[in-house]
Amino acid sequence: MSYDITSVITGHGEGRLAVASLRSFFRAVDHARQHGLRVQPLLVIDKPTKATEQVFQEFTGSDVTLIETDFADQGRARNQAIEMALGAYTAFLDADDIWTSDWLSAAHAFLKGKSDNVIAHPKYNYFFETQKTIFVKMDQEDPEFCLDTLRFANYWDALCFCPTKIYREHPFCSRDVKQGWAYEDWYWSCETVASGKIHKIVPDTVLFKRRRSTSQHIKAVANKTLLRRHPLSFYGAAPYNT
Amino acid sequence: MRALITVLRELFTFVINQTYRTFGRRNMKLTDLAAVGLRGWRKKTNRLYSVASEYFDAEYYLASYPDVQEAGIDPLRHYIKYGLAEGRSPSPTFSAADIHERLAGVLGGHFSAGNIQDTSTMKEGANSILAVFQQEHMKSKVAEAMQLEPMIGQPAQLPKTTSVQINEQGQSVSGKALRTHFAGRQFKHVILTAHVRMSGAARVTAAFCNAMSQIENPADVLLVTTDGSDFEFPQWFPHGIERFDLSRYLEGFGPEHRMKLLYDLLRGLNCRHVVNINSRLMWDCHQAYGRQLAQEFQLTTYMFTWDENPLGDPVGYPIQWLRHSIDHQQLLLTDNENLARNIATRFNLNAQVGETLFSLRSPVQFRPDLREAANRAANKRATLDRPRVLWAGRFDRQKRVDILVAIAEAMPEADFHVFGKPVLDRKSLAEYHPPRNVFDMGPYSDFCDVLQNGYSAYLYTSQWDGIPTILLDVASGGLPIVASDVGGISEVIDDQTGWLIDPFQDVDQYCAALRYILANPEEAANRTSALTAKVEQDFGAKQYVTHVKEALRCHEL
Repeated sequence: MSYDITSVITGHGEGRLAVASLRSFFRAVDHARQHGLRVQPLLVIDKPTKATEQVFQEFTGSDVTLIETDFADQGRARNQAIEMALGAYTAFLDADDIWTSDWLSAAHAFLKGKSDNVIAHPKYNYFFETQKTIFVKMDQEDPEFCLDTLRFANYWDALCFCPTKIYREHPFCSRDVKQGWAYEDWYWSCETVASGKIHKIVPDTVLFKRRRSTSQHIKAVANKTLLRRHPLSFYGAAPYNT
Repeated sequence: MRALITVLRELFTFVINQTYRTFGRRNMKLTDLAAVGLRGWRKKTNRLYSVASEYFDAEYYLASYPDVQEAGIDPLRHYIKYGLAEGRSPSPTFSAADIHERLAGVLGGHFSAGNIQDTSTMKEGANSILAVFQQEHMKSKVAEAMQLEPMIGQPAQLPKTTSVQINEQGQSVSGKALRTHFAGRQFKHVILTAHVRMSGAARVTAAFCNAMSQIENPADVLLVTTDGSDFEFPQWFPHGIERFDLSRYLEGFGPEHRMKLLYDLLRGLNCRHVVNINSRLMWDCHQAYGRQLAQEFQLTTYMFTWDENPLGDPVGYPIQWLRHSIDHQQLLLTDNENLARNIATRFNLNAQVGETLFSLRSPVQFRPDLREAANRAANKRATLDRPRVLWAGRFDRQKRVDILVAIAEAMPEADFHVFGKPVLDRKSLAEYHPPRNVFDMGPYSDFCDVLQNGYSAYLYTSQWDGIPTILLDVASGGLPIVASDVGGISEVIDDQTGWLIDPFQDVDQYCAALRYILANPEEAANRTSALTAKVEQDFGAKQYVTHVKEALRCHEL
């Protein structure tokens, strides 16, 4: 069976915090289906805590696939989901973040008719819990977009919507905090941009992102981890000349 | 008690200076700090208000923190007095961390107005984003999400707005400038040094560059100054090796951003081998990101000596810094065996001597004009009424100008010509209150000019050292040397080649040696000849190049 969208939520140790995320996930799936889209829901738990596993089990159903992995690595868990993906497009959600109900439909409508090298992001990330910050994302075709900036900060994240083949072409790299490497989302941004993909913003869309005091981002900063050397690291990389 | 207070005062000043040195500030003495005290603080407070007001949104602050409104205090004053320390957010555009970093500059001296974004545009942008979230279609999205997760309303304040442009704080402007400057050129070797001032480290940096220009294609080697723009002696460096002042691109950035920009440069140049010769920024980078650097680059570090604090305890790169980074280094180079032995012993690297750890003897330029100048000097010496003793070096604590002054006081029969200037410290020669037979000759640019004054001996009074390059210059200029027996000096001077003084502060021994030289010129000439022969044999430029080549070859660098 083929699908328009594979919708993936990944969980690790969120426990009952995942309930709201899973509900937002299925609400977006339902909304898309109501708009005539065929959606494949994939729930992925990677080395989950008992509580997280239990919560995810509570949301399984006849048309829902639950995948359990043992990577302890979000990037590899997402890659595993892509192997199971049957949709033309794939969207990711983390199990402590919240989608709006219209995200899948709006992103699908936005990409319809566009080239298959476009990656769609919500316009805003609305951080909550330990901070309340609205992060505004930038369209790669905005005149203010600067390729050099990507070496110092990530314009986007992996909770986006794009043709599944882009994820197959550019699987997420592994995180290796012990050796000092993290930020697989950021690496993915650099790699996709370098290969000619275009990151676009879906107007009037927002993703709610929980910022916990123990978030992976905060741990990565505290551990002095870095972004791995990527295709834009070298000053002579081809994209700088285009 | 007074001695204890003196030591404590020096120790405090030393710590302050070390701290300021980190940020490229001129050194300050305790008295300087006291003098600027209240006056400086008042100025800084005014500047703090001035800078903070640029980022401060009073309406936002009052709306976010009802307690401020209740207290009836001016919101900006509240922010400066309490909010800043409490980590409160000053505006929807800036996080507490952002403002902290900016205002830290005002307090700590590394503030740069050039680094600040156009706040009026950003405030306008922030307000327009907040306005979007007041529109019905976005309000309903927030409300819908809050039904599932009421924590979306937390913390109880108006949202701040941010973006990559705000978060990266101007790094990409410098990053873009670096990229466009190099335009895709690659360098196999990048040599990092702090700056080029009058110092042995700068001399060795030049010697290493000269060696690299003979070993490698000079176009594959880049010399980068990281901590300051000073490049006082371009004539020491080979023409073929390009040099680049990174420090100009780092102005106004805090330590973290400076390290990230250096890391960006190393990746951007696609270099394979990074050599650190006294670059503080690279030592910082080793501390923070050594494990990553070691995975991406082959790392070489060149060391000269440790420092000593006012208590006489060893400090500096080979002491506090090396221990964190030693396992990340492919190659450790020293300019003297004493330091190499010390490192080998402390880190149990005896098996690695000659593999990981090399002692390289810095080369001396044997200039024909130096020989001629030495000959002319001998003639001049014969015509002088009073003998002259030469002292040349930095007027820094390490070099012990006070011992020189004490020797001059004890030897009124001789004149002491003193060349140099303070480099790391700020105390002038006059501040040591020298007697009348001490003459401040200022800095020199060519040692030939110095020699022509007809000196009878060279006096070296350092408290700690590696092998100071000035001793090698003096040796090739044919002057008898009286030097303190510290660090690697005994690797050049011994009973056959000069006069070693142990302990280094023994004024009577220095005087006795100088008087012996003045009374026995033949014996002095014999030792000087032996010294010249030794230096020619062991410290030649060709040997240096060969040794650098061997060290690099060991690691296929």
